[in-house]
Amino acid sequence: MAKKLMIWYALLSKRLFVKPSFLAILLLAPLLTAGTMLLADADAHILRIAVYAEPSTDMLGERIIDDLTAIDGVVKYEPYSSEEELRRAVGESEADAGYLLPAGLTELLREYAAGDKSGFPYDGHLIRVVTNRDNIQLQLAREQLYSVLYPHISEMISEQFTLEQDDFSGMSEDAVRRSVEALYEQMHVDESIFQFAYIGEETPADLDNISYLTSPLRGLLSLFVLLTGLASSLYLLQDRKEGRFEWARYGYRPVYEWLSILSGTAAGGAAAYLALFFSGTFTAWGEELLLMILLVFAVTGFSSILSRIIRNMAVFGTCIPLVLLISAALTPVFASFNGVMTIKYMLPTFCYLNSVNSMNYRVRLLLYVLAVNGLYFLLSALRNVIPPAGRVYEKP
Amino acid sequence: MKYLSMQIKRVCRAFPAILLTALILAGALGLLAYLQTVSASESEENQKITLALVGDTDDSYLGLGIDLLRAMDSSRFTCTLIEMSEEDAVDALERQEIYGYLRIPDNFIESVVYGENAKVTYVAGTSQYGIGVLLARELADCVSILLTETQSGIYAFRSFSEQQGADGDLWSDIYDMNMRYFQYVLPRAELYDIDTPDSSPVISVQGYYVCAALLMFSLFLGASGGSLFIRGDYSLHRMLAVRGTGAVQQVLAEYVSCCFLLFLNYVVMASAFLLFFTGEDNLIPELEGASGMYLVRLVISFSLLLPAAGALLYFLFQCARSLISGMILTFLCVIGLGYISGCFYPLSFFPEEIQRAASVLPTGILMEYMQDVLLGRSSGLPVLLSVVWIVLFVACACLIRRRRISG
Repeated sequence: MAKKLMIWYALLSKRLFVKPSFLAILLLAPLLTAGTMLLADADAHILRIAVYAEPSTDMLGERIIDDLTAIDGVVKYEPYSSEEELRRAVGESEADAGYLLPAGLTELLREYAAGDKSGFPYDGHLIRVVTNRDNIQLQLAREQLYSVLYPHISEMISEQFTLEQDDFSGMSEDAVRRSVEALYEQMHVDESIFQFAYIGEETPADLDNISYLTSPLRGLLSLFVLLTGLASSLYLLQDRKEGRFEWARYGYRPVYEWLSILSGTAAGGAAAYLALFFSGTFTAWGEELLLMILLVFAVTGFSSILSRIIRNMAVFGTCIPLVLLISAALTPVFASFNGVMTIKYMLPTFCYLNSVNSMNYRVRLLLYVLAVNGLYFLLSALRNVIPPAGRVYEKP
Repeated sequence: MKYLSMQIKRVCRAFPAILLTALILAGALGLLAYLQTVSASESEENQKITLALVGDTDDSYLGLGIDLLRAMDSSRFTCTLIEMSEEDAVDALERQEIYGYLRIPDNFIESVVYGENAKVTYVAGTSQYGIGVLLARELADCVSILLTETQSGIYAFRSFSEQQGADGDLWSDIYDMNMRYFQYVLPRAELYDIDTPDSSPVISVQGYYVCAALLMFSLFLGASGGSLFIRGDYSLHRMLAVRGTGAVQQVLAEYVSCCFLLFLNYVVMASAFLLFFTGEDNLIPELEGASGMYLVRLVISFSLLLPAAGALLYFLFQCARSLISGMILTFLCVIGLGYISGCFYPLSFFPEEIQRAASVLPTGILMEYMQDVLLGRSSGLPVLLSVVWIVLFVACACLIRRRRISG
């Protein structure tokens, strides 16, 4: 029986691969992935901020701009040569916001550290932010600006506080400032006190190599496998309509139908595995292969159940985009939302995407595979026992 | 004409089942979203980002910092900090009950004091690959600078006092200095003057994503009609060609029926749109105070996307020789085009070359058209470019059909 099933699996796969267009379409997945990887090296940012320092003999404004432009992150800072240019860039949406830094910044900060804000030039504020809107990303960018200003503010607060102490009233202001400045430099910690790691990983993650443009690739490829499974089920419905499995013994028909779906899904899984190799998120080939095999069987079971429940091609065709949209929204492809765990556990991509870093989820994925495929054969067995109304199955 | 009416009838026969399924699934999804929203709003705690603290939090300085974070208005309404063991934190993270956890090393504060720079590790779940963790990193860098610079200022003062042999109460001075720093750091938003100039209107995030959702839903639901238009057997079409209905007439009739299917789907989506966005509590700033008539006009203007979306889908259907290939090709192209046209991430997140390429792709043009309509801007160029794409797609489909009929 096993040999017979293998032969049928090979024949069902051959039926797909005999059309070169099928192979070409499958190869689109690794090609599109490789194309997307080119984006990872491109200069992409979630915000563009224009910065301009008013002309001044004090160079602190220019230093702040240099520090901002040196930040290698998701926000890009671009220096502008005049306030008019900066306003035009924001007005025409070339930049999401613009920062105007006042002349004589050092003196303004020194006065600020001494509690005097009367000299702030922009309606009582130190910095003018020109923007058409305000959102969480722009607020983050303002925190980044503050983190560039803060070392100067902090040093001046330290100097000012020291000067205010009675113990040092006999010392000259310059001497106190110079000493505190030297000690401040000596005590300075340059490294960040935070590091990042993903769950299940002991070593810190190297975030410099992460591109937000390519990070959804693994999720999208798992959706691709789901799509091949669903499309294979639709193909099966067409086969059923055209009576292609009528010759099979009634009791074995579910096995042939399951093999038919598996043949398409496995082809999709192979293309997705190849694409993962180019995606920059590939870990170890053995682990990835095991996870991909589990995903293929999970998707096969899931699609088989759907093909057992839904028998109308138009209805099934409508289910495909909706299942894909639900999977894209509820499983961590682009972002993940809290809650609705029961629905999430029903989707094959959920356990797969979480299992990359979690042994618990690998076990859950295995249980999911057993559950969905078991359920499909159970539904099929029930259908054999209780044939659908209106049909009479005669003994040969 | 007879072939066209036949195709329309096929679409009409299939549509009730398509509609019913779409309504059931969309209804189920909507109900889930509603239940989720209701349960979240019932509990204020559920609306916050929950972070766990793992490790040595006994240090008095660290404890003070954590208490301060819990007490500060800016953080207590957005973030909940829970202390737990690492095993519990891992479990909670896997169950998505927490957003992430901070692993604080033993004697963290002491190590900082002695310049050993032990690091706090932020452990994120797999669900936060990508943009979420990159934003968290930027924020963590800012927080790190605030902490280390404050620490440098306080230690500089302490060292200076010790060097000068100051006889006052140093610990009391350090406490005062900490308070001084808080006085400057907490109201830091007051440093900025937010100036909104008169400029070309910019679409809101909500408006942008409504356009993206409408376009993706149109394409996805249209793609579900693949079983009606993807064919492996062209014997009937050869016979039709012999009887005078040539490749061009066949393609035009099928293209029109494909657009008709999109139109039927669109009517349902537009009704939901009108139902959802009519009212005072409008989620889209561009539609605040809009009259019902304006919304109807908007829906009619948006419907101009259907011929272009229909042409794209119909062309993709014609490229495939089997249902399975056709469905995979269509969805792959729709997702790929949607991705680089800014339907998932805003287009401004992409490199400039991609933004330029997107502006001539059919999905990019449709996104631009819908944004122009929503902002009340002139949309002549996108309309012209979509007409070019429609002609190109239909012409290519005609060539494919002619080849299939003759082959």
